[in-house]
Amino acid sequence: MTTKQDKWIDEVMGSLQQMQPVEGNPHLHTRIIARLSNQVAPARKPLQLKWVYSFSALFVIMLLMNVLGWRGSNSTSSEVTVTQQPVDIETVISDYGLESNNTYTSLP
Amino acid sequence: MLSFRDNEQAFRDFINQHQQRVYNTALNTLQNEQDAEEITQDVFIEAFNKAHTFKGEAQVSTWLYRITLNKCIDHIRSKKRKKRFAFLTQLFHDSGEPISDAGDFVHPGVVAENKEKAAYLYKAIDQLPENQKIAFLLSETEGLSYAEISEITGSSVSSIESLLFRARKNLRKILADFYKNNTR
Repeated sequence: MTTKQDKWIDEVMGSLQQMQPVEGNPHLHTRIIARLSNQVAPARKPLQLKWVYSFSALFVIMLLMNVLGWRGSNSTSSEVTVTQQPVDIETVISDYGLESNNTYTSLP
Repeated sequence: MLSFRDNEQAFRDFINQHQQRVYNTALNTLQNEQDAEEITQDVFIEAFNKAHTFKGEAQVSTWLYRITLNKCIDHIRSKKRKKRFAFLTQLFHDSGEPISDAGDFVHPGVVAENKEKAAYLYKAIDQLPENQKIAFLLSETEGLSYAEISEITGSSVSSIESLLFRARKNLRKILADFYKNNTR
């Protein structure tokens, strides 16, 4: 039984011994050239579009941020001009009591 | 450095020179003629696109064997993945594409009187771990030396020897099971 089995296994293991290589498809070259010419267009298109879309989105976002920032700074500067009155030097001098020319003050 | 751009005739010659080797390696590994043809095309397309990366450190045939085997391994893995999720894909997307097993494949170049036995051997080879399968096929069907296999796979010669030893041992075990099941 074992010798019969071993013999069969040996035969199976050696069954590829005289195998001949087979020829591939004779039109392989034509098919490869066709695939190569097809691969150029679809391979590049999504990549370019992806970048175009992302750059345009980035540009739009930056433009919006600029516009919003510009409008914001305009409104805050107009508020400042409304609330703050122009202060001249005389007012400051009188407010802080700096009218005297005497720089030396006597101690109490 | 290789380059086939703007030189269609050189590329045609390159295909003619290596087509048989690439196709037979793919056929023995994938055990399916359609898949082997598809992979052969993929291999030459990659060779065309990446010809500039070939620096001539190894032989062109070694470089092509590497591309072929990598593509075959990827193909087998994706088929296994498909098989694993066959139930889900059938539920959601029935593409009509058969998720085939390696059936009773026999390489067309096998001698007529050995065909039946070779079918058992291919079935057993299909059950081997990936690295053992590759080493065994390169040795048995391509007739490559240990040194050549080690250059292709990037493993040492001693590890190739051990891989082949384990591959043969495992094959004998699998074939013994086949024999027992058939004689019952």
